[in-house]
Amino acid sequence: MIQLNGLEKSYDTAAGKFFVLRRVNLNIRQGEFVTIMGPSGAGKSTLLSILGMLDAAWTGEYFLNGEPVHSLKPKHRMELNKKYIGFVFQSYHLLDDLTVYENLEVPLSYRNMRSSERASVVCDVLDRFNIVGKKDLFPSQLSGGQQQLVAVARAVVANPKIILADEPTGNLHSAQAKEIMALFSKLNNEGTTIIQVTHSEANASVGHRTIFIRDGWIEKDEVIRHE
Amino acid sequence: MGRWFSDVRFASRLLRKQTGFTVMAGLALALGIGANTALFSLADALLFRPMLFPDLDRIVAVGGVESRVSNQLREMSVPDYLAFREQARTIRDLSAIDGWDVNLTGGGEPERVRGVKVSAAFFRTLGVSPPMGRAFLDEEEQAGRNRVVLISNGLWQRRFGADPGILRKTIELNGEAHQVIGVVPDDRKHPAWAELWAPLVFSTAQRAADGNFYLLAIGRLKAGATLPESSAEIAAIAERMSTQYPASHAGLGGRTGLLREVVSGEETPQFMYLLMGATGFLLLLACSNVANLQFARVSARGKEMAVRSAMGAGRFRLLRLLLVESVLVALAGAAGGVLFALWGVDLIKQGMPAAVEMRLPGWQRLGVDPRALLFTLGIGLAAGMFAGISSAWIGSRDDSQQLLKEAGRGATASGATHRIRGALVIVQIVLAIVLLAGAGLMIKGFRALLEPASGMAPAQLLTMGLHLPESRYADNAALRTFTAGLETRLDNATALASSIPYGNSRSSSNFRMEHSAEPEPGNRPITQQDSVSSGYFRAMRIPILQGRAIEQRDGADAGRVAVVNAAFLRRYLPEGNPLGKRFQIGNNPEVEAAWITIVGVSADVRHRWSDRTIRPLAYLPLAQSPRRSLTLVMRDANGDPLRLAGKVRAALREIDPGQPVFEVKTFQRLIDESVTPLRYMASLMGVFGGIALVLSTIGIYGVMAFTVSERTHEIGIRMALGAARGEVVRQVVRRGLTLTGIGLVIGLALAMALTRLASGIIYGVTPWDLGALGAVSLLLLSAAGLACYIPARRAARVDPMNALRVE
Ligand SMILES: Nc1ncnc2c1ncn2[C@@H]1O[C@H](COP(=O)(O)OP(=O)(O)O)[C@@H](O)[C@H]1O
Ligand SMILES: [Mg+2]
Repeated sequence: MIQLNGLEKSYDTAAGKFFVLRRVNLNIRQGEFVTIMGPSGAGKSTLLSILGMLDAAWTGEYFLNGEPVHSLKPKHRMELNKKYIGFVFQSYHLLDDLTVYENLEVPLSYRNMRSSERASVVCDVLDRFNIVGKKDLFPSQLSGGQQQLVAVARAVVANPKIILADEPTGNLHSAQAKEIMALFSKLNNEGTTIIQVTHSEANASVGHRTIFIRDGWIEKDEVIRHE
Repeated sequence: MGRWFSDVRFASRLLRKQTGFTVMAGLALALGIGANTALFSLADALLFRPMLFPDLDRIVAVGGVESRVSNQLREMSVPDYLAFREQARTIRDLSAIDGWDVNLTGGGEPERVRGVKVSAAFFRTLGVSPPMGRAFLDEEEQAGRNRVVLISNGLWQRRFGADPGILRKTIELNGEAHQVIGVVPDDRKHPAWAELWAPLVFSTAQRAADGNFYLLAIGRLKAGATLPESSAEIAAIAERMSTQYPASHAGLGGRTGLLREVVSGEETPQFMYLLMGATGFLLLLACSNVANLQFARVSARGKEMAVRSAMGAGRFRLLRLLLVESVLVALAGAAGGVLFALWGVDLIKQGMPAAVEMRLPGWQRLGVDPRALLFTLGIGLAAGMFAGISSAWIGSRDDSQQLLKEAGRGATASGATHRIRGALVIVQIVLAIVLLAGAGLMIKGFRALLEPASGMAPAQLLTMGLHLPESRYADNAALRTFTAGLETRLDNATALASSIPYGNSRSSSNFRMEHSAEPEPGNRPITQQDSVSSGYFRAMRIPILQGRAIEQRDGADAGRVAVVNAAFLRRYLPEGNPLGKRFQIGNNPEVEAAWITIVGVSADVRHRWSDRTIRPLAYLPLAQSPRRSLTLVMRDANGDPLRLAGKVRAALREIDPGQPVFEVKTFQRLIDESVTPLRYMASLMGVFGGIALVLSTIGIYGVMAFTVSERTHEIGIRMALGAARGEVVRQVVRRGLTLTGIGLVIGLALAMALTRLASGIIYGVTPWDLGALGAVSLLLLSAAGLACYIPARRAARVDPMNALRVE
């Protein structure tokens, strides 16, 4: 599904070239649940952004479902993003001025979907995530855990093949975190590929494979066996 | 004090960092203050200090009024003047003025000089005593003693090389010797164009001529007398005159007015009020612009304010910080405004056409008026401070705890701020479109006014003035000999006329159609009356619509004929064949009794840009109605008509070597000069329109840029969720253009109402012109579109990853 060959990213700083990712080679198959771990500043978020095509300034090869992302124009990359990717962020990033319902509608509005169809998809998702009662509330009226629940709902509303989650439980209590991880597990069982960044061993243990990054290098790539 | 100082230091550091904001706000204020100050200085000079005479507000002009027609002062007859002078108790030193254009001969090329004959008290009235020589003595106001003259400083230098012995010299005016008794400083002249002053003497016949209205008069209000009192007194005397002379004075009244108001002219105040209105709008625009920028900036700093108040800053401290910033910006704008004002006054001075400048003696002293500057500075400062404080006030109302929490996730402006900001953008668009529409309509109307002349190919025509003085050409026979001699020497592309379109003079007379009922006095038909030679219609390219033109055969001894214009027909002969109809025309004794037969009808030609409708006009053969003041026109269909001037001068020298010509110029130039006030207005309005466009573009740009920068975070999220760049750009532009559209609709309605008003005042401004309104709307829309597009593009370039970075 995802294949990276010799991917590198650097920033030009006063002190010279500063590498954030070095010669990253990575292969992720469809249906995997991958956890990325590493100290702060290691390059995890950067890697996730590149995978999600929010970052275009890098070198190397990136194949997504066989498509060579590295040789695609920005417009085509955005198409791939729309087709495959759903994002979940540590600080939720819900749109403050929109209700829960409207927030869920946003990704669909970018995907040429008729509004009647949109309504049924959103209602379906509200139902699946058990947040029908909250649909007319604004983000500021929800707790952090509820906001992240909505954010995950928003990530899956357009039916992505891959969910990229950057420290999704970083701002949550452990109970709330468990709930989100259970949700991921369920989605993964239904066939969605999940790639999450986390500092929590507990969260990592939900996945099948853990990749350790340090100073931009992949240090370790472990498969977790579930008994 | 120390705290204030630290606020100032912090504020100026911030302003230096936010160069874009500081420059935009400063520039907007500077433009508004500059344009306003320059214009108020101009208005002040033109309207309130057009002359440098002591106690200017006690110097009055006295004249007749045709209250049925207008309140404008008009000329009076000699009996009127004498009655006013003897009977008026509120005015002293009432002095009559009569135009006196003379040929100055002897010692060099003969020259045409403009002067006036005035009562002996004239310089006393003005409060001028010549530094060189003396003013008139009272006894010089009688025949035999009146061959004395004062000359202007300009004439003294130009013509006499500033000869210190000038006061012992006599000079020849219209062929008669005059003793020079004084030199008048150039900035103390009245009328401003005059170069000669001689005593005005009335003959016995003139003292009795109650039907000849040609005198203007000035006087000084006596101590204790007020203008309304004086005006009432003059009106009462005028009423007695109209009972005494019912035939000539029917419907005539009289009044007293301030000389300065009469001098600055009928149109000047209207133009000035229009311009002041326009700059007022401009200042408002600048202020709303600054308010808008301040507002956007303050609300974008919600987080900083929240942090500060979390650390214990009271509301007052926060307001003070913003106040200091606003004052700094306003001061920067004010400094720029002073520069713009100086520059603007300079520009106005240089652009001021000679035709306008001539009427304003104090012109060269025009400078930035300190009161106007202080006034606009005050407004600018107040606007900047008000904007800063009010936005800070609204901002500090928000619960800071809430702000802090939200700030972490990139707070967006609250709904109220959004609405205020939107309203300010709309206000700016409205003001800009009003100014632009005003400018567009004026420029368009101005062009339409020149169209009628284009059929005459005015660039090919040479025009020059001639005056044949009585001292050399005693009677009509002599005048005829002169014109005949000139015509035989020059080819048939040449013609002479007593008046030409856009020229200085035109005269009108009462007339009576044959078989028409005797009209009531004061309501007799009137027509402009021009004497033209046979080549006139050909040379001027005025089409003959019916019958024939004036021809060679219409000599002194032939039957009296006339060609009338189409307006004459419309007004006085709307039905039947006009050819062969006869009329009698007034004023000129020689033709008084004669019947004049209409032999042709010419197309209409506009004679003044300010004529709302074309006036009836009767062209009489020059040979049958000789005149002393003539304009010679000569067409050169292929080339520069000014070349012909030499040829004309040579022919003149053969006929009369002492005969000067003046105002040698192309007809195009003549037209241009006559429409200069309008053109000047149109170009000033154009400048204001341009500034308005710049200001409103800055305003929209500023608001959009701030809105976008505030929304960077949101845009980042949207792009992570799949929004394409195009969609982001469209969304931002859509909001900007919605505001612009609302402003446009309101502004166009207001502009149409205002130009409707203006068109009532100034001819040539058309209230409904879809082309012009469409063009300015499009201009503003594209400027606004660009102002939205640039920040939108920048927003769409935002790297979502950076926008979402939270650490
Ligand atoms: N615009 C930038 N310019 C320079 N360095 C940057 C920029 N953005 C991120 N970095 C650096 O890239 C590195 C990786 O950042 P990130 O991927 O966010 O780390 P992580 O998510 O693993 O904590 C960090 O050292 C960060 O300082
Ligand atoms: Mg990170």
